[in-house]
Amino acid sequence: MTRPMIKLTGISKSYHRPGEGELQVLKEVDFEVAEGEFVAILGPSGSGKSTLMNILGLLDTADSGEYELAGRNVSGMSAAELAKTRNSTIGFVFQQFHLLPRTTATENVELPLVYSHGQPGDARKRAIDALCRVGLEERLTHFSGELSGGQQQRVAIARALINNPAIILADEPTGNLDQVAGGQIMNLFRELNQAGSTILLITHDEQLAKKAGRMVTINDGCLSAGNQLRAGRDVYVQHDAAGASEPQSGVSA
Amino acid sequence: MNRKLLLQGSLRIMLRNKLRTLFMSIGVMIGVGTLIAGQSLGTGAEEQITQRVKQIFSPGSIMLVSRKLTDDDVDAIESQMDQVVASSARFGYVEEDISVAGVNRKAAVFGLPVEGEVVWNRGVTQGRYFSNNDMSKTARVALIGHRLSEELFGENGDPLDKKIMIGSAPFRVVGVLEPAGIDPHGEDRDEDVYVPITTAMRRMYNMDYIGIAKLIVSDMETVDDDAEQIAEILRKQHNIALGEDEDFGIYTSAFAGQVMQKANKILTVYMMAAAAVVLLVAAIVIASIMLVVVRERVAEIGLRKALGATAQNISFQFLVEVVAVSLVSGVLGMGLGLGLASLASTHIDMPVIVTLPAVLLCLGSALLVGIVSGIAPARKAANLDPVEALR
Repeated sequence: MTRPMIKLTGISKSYHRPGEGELQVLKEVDFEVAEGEFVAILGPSGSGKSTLMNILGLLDTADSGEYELAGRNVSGMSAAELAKTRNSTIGFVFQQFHLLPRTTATENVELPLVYSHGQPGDARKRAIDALCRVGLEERLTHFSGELSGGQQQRVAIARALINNPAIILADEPTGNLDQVAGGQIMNLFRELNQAGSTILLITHDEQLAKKAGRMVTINDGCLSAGNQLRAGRDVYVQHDAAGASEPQSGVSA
Repeated sequence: MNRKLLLQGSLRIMLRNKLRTLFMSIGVMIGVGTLIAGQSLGTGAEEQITQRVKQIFSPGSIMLVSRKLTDDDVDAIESQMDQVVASSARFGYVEEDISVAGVNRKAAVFGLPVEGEVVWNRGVTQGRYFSNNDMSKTARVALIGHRLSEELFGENGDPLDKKIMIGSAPFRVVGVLEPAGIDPHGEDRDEDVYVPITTAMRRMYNMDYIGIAKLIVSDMETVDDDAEQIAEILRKQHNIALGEDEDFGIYTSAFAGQVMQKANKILTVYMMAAAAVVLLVAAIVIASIMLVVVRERVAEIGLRKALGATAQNISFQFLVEVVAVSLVSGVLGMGLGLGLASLASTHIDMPVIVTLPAVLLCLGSALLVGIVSGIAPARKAANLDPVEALR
């Protein structure tokens, strides 16, 4: 295995919910992702996968444990350092795309460069390159509202790529798309992975998770490694039986 | 942070939300418009008042006002004070009915001597001023202001040698007075009627007291000392002991200027107070709109934070957006205010004078409104938790 891009050691997180008391969402999670890997984290609603995603994405901090990202310990970083690291190291892809309204595809893709340090003034060119990589060279000046869901998600992926991040974090990236568009997005991720990108996919959809190189399941705040796939699938089958195999919108753990 | 990209983005957001931006602008535009209009009209009025005061109180002039003032008093002053180089009484004013062939107007009638032309600094644009002959004969001749002339004889009518009735007595118009505009009391001095002072005192009103006299002294630096000396002479003339109540008033040009400027300052202060209220309301409106905008853009703020924006970056962006709108509105408001002030100035005969301090005051106010109204929304945006914001 090459050097770990992500290394979590004993990460725990709990929330205070009024009336419910202390709720432990993540329990002593250990997790590693190697450079160039395509890993899926599979988990049902409420399993703690969104909290894990937020901690992995440096949007939230753990109560305890160590987190090493691209060789740097991020556990003790200040808010400003975390922001800088998010900008340079992580590319986010969200279920709801989160494109700016009334803004063109190119302008949306440029957005991370606003917060980059010491970037040369070739923002436009880099945004166009990124859009070409996701196959949207014909849609550069379209406003976000003029694009289909799949195209919007491609714009979001181009935005995630523009700073050449160490890792792409995709949280239910196909949750708001139909099957065809979702399949195309997954193919795009695989192409990007084959071209060298490290990708971490978070989903509740096992079929989707299976398209990744490795699958890890999360349940009740505990992570089961890839070799324990069988247990994870059993949990998921039960979940499927409850009728959750349809693409769900607004899913949050 | 790449400021250029951020500013471009903010500008796009503003331009693509025109209606909202317009609502944010209106208050600042009106406030700054009021401010610049008040300032420029105020400065114009100040300049105009200074001109008018100069017209009445040329430098080195002293005005005597008394119900008991006589020609003898003025003669006594002139004979005892070498520095008094000229003097002129002015009798009046009395409001009279002026009529010509059915057209009837009320006008202020003043009696003036031959020296009045120079000492009171108002001659004629047509015809002639009063002569010594008019004085000795107590002639029934009159000088009229140009506006009164237009009212009586029409805009292009020739008033010279025409007969007008002052009360029930006929007078011949021999001249049209130089324009003098509206005086500081709001009276239109271009509707005045001047008659020879002898005619006014003896023939028309049978009075011995001249009312007002104006003296010109040779050295304007010593006007205050001269005024003191004049007071002494008048006390002697009127048999008033030192310390007793005087029956006269003595006013110098410096004093008059102070009084007028004070009146004008009060007006300007009121205009500024009005502008301040409007700008305060504008700040509140902008702040409330922006607070709603922050709520509306929660997802965007969360996204920006995920993409690497720090709390300071977010706060900077919102502050810049508000300040930009406010400053641009301020500049537009200045244009609007000056436009309306110019329009008004042609109607109320008052010049519009724009000064650099006034412009800086307006820009400063717009900037201040932007910062004050932007702080709360910017802080709210900066403090949003990205996890919550992206949910």
